[in-house]
Amino acid sequence: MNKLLAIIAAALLPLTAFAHGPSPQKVEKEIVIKAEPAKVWGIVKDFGGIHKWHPAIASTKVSTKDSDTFRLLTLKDGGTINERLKSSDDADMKLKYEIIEGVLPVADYNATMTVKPGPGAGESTVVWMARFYRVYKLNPPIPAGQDDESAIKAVTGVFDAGLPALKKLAEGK
Amino acid sequence: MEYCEIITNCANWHNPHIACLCSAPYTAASTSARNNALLIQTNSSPILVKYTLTFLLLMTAPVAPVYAANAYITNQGANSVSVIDTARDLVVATIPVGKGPVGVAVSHARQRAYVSNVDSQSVSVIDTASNQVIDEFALGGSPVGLALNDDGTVLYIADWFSNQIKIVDASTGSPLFAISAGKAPAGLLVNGMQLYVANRDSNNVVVIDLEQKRIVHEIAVGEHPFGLAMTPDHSRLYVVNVYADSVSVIDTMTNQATTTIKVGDHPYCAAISADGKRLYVTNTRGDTVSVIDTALNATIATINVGSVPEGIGYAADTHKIYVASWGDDAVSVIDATANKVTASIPTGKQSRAFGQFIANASH
Repeated sequence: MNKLLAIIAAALLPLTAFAHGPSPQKVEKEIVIKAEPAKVWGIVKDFGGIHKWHPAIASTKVSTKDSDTFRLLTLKDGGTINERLKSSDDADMKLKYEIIEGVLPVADYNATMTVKPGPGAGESTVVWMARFYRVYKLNPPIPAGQDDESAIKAVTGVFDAGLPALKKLAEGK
Repeated sequence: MEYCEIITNCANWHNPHIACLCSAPYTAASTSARNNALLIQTNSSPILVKYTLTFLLLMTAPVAPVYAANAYITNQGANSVSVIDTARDLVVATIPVGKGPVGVAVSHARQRAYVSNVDSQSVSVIDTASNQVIDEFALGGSPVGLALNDDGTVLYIADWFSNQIKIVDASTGSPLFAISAGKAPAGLLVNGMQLYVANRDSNNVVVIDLEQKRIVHEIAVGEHPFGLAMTPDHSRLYVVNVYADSVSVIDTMTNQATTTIKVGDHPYCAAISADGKRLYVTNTRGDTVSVIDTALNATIATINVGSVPEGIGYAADTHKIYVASWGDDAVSVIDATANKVTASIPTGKQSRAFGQFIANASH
């Protein structure tokens, strides 16, 4: 019965039998830092200071337009990423931002960095989560570097490089 | 002393004095293992049970006096459906389905839940009495949004890449007919012999006459409409406009959009209260739910919920609202009388629950 349905379905959609739009992807990483949450939050919320800890970023340029704040990241490998600050909440210790444009192979990228107390006394847990789509939004075949895997790999790389460096900075004197 | 890893034959969790059988006894040498265990007095001898949050909840949850529906949560990243008992706010089953499940539609009358597996290009059919998958309809294309007619005999599937609504027999999956909708059809809502479709890339809602099998009205709404909800008296249709951060209100008699209500950041879905007085909207980038007074057509409260809230449903018998949190891999539970989150239930990766996912007795 299912085979018959598949044939009927394929006949109804002759050109789009393999049509499939992109699905939202998630990368979420966390790290425990031996430093007080307030101190860690102080570093995280410094929107224009990400180059102080992230090893891939050479410099950060902050600008404002109307009520929006942007940071233009210049990467050590070359290329830039322009991000917009969405919210920074001291009570929840939560920073939200989105990518406007840049070299990362992602689309509709929104990220949240949250600092939580614990697990132990004098410790903090930083959770970095991003939701995004691959670059290529149309039917397969998907051009190289614009697929889900490339997007996930790139974002994972940003988080895996950044979190240990954030930890090192926060734990330092 | 013996401890217990797995408890079986424990039908009466509410009465700790009824003996439960231990099917996996072990001897825990360490203090921490003992500290993690919980002692139950039984008729015969004490049995130590490994502590779980589930167990505590089972011990303290009152027996629900009214029917409380199950909620079927699609976990897009886990290829599964979490079944939540809304009386106890517990996951009672995790059902493996196809790849990338998103949409869901439940029929209380027919005891069926349908789930769209976007990546498998199919719909899984779940028997809600046993919580087992009993069939899978192969569809091709990109099935996302689902809806059922009132008696659960017909299933509507929005294929958002072919811009079609496929209509199939809900029992067999036999195709009945297909209708072209607008661009990227998403949310679906059946009202008698009419089907409303939110077309994400057309910025409109179309009204399909199911007897004539064609679009009879096109209503312009805000940018990128996705989720739909309707008042219990069928007089108003609410359309969530993702890019406009708003909800369009449509008068179903005139098929006109009468007003627009501002909500939060990047809203996706909406659910109406049982009495029609409140509409709840998920703001996926604000991590909040907007509460709308449907008489005032205004947002009157904003509730912090889990990360990236998407699908939302109102449990009519318990007046609780269930919000799938894609970011937390969990479901936030809101007490509608207090507008407060009372629980977060871990589900599976990237919970979405897009559609009517609660088997309310009064559909």
